[in-house]
Order: sequence, then structure tokens, then C-alpha cells
Amino acid sequence: MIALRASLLWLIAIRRRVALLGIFSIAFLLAAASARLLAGTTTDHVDLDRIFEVGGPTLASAFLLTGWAIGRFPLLAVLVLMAGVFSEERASGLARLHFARAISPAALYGVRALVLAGVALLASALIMPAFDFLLLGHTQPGTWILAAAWIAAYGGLTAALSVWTRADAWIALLLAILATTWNALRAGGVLDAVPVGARQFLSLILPPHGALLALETAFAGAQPVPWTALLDAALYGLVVLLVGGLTLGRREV
Amino acid sequence: MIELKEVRKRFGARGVEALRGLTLSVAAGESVAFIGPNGAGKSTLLALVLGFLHPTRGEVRIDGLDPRTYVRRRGAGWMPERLTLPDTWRVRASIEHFARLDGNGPAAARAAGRAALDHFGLAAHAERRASQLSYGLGRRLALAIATVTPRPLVVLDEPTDGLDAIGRVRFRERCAWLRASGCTLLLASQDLAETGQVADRAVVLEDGVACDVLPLRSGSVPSSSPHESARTGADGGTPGEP
Repeated sequence: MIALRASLLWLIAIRRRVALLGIFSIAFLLAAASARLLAGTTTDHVDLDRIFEVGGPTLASAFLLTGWAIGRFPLLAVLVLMAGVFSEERASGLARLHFARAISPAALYGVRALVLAGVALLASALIMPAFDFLLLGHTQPGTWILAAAWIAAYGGLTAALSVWTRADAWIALLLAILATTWNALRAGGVLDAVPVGARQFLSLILPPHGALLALETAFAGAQPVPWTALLDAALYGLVVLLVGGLTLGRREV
Repeated sequence: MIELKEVRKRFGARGVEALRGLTLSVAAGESVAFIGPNGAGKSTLLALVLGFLHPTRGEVRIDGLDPRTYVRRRGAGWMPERLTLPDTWRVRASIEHFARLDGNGPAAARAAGRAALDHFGLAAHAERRASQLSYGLGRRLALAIATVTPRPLVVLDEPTDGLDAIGRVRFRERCAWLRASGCTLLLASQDLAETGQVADRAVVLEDGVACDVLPLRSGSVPSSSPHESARTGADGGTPGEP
């Protein structure tokens, strides 16, 4: 309860970042609303060909990029909210005031990470269906499951990185880019010449983009939820979070 | 209560060695001041005692426990040399926040917060943002946070730095109150004139080594000490109840 209260105080302290995320979300929705106004059809979805006719390849590219980015909204939300979840207090010296109290730092900062993950999930669960509704004319049930998978994997990773470095969110973003590339190369069979052990090791260390892609594909095709993929993503986040928590208990502050 | 055996602390493989083989015992209920110039190793020593840092060599024990284990079980009062709170935190809420983390219920935390605000003359500033306080008021707030709940171990880094005459009186009164509660007090300071008022002995640190120990009767300061601060104009006064 005390850790939860402390987390709410932190949430107030980072209110500008929360507001920024809100503004960012509104920009996404405005983009979707504009696309609908420009190219809405009688079948209630935005027609990409019509967008191409109206604004040429530039507008079509912008529209596709916006659509791609909204699919990564949970990643953006979790990076924005979780940045400095521990490292910021370590740098300012506030962490020492917390470490001097008779409370487990892992519990204190762990609850904070969970609260922030909850806020990211709530924001994603509101924004993503709204975006879908504007573009497709209907919402996809269970979008929040996809968001939860992203948030579990990257929330755990960012929180763990925060124990070691102030560049936590930036490194998480870098790993996201690396994991996307790695996964694409692996799926394309380009890495067959790389020793199996090395491939497996890197696939284990990098965020589980194979699982996240499987979830995205399932949602895009209105297929049943691949629960093992969801479990993979959640397990990855949990393991890195535990490693971070254990390190936090020993780390100098 | 506190045992340090041949403690060394080096920052980085080729960095500065802040402490070089310090051995020291502090009994429960004792008040010890660590005196020395900048870079003598005072703050490092306090950080090692509370488990914020780990010794490169040697051992630190509090009641036979590793410092971090001890602090996690019993908590400690900690006043940093520089207090940085999030800019949204207000004075009263900050004190109450730490009182809650000390295990007080909401009502007890409010009462402890109110008492600390009154004692340190912060009541008029209770709803101000902590980040907007003057340096001296910020130091009072740091003292209030460190001592809002009496703990068996209270560690204060440069507690009198930036305090005005009234603040110093309040500091002495608070120390007397803590000592009456059986607390062990560790203080790091360059101001022997002031810390000498509340300490049983002063350990003089220089270049990471304890080079002298000055026995003090709380309330007296050896005038011949080479480390005595120039701030001798500080007011006197007998410690009383806060």
C-alpha cells in the first residue's frame, strides 16, 4: 500500500510526460480522423487508393507510417513512462532516501514499474481501438492483449535497464530496432550460416519480436490469440524484471 | 553497534581511494562526529555505513548484519548533503511521505509530520514546493525528513551547513531528543564547533584515514582543534526538548 502511494507520487512527478503522451495520442487520432474525412468509404473503412489519389505517394506513406506507429503505441507509451523509473532517482540522490527506509527497494520500485505499466496499458487500450474504429469502422476485440504483450516485454526490459543506466529507454529502443532486424533476418533464413548456439543466445537476450509479430499477425487476420506467443512475451518481461530486481538489491546507489 | 574493519573504498579500478583501511567501533547510543576537510572520506564513510556503497575491502557490520540488511529490517534516518526532491513535492507531503515509508499509519505520519514542521520552523512553508525553498530552509527540510521517525541509527551528512542560528538551535534540540530516545548518531561535518555540541567524540579523517580521535563531552569543543570551523559565532544554548 505504501509502495503504491509512493508510485502515485511518482506519477504526479512525471505528469508532464503523461501529458505529452496524451498529446501524442490525440495527434494519432487526429491523423486517423483526417484520413477518414479524406478517404472514408461507404463500407466504413479508409480506402488507401483514395488517399493515394488525394495526396500522392507522400500522403499514402504518411498514412502507412502512422498506422505502423499506432501498432507500436504500447512500446512508445512504456518507453515514455518508464524512462528513469529508478535511474532518475539514483542520479538525484532520492533513491538513497528510499534505500534508508525499512522497505524493500525491489518492492518499492517494482510496484512503481507495475503502476506505470498499468497506465501504459490503459492508454493503449483506449487509443488503439479508437484508432481502429476511425480507420476500419469497427474495433478489433482483444487489442489490449497485443498491447499487454508489448508492455510486458518492454516494461520489464526498461525497468531492468534502469537499474544499470540512465539511458534505459534509449537502450530499450535500440534493442527494439535490433530485435526487429534480427527477427526479420532470421525469418528470412539469412542467418543460417550463424552458429546455432549464437543464434539461440541472441534470440534469448533480445526482446521477443517473433512472439510479438505472431500476435500482430493473428490480430490482423482475426485469428485466435496465440497464447504461447503472449506467454513468451510476458515471460521475457518477467525474467528481465526479476534480474533487475535482484541486481537492485545489491547495486550501489 | 557499528563495526568497521580495515575498510577500504576505491571508486573505479584506477580511481580515487576515498577510504584507506579504516577501523572503527561505535557503541549503541553513542554520538560520533566525523570531522575533516573536503575529500577526507566523510560522506563515503556514511554511505558505507548505510549500505549505499559497498567496501572494496574490509567489512562493515551493524548489529552483526550487513548494512543493507540491517537498514531494510530496521530503517535509518538519513540526511544527505544535498536534498533533491521532485519539483511537484510539497514540504508537508514530503515529510509525511517518508514518515509513511517509516511504517507509520496515515494519522501517525500526519502527526509526526506536523511535529517536524513545527519543530524546524517549516509550518509557514508547509504547502510550498520543496524545490522552491531557500537553501537554509531546504536543509531544515532534510533534517525533518531524516528525523521524522526516531530510528536506532541516524546518519547526518553536513547537518549544520546552511543553517541559521535558530536552525542550529533546532538541530541541537533534535539531536538531544534523538539521543534521549536511544538513537546512535553519526554526523559528518567540517564544523567541529557545532557538531561538537552534540557528539561524544570526533573522529578526524584526513585523506581516507582516521588520523585522530577527540573525546568530547557533548556541549564542549576543544578550542585548540585545528579543524574548528570559522563559524564560531554560532549561538550557544542548552539542548532541550523539541
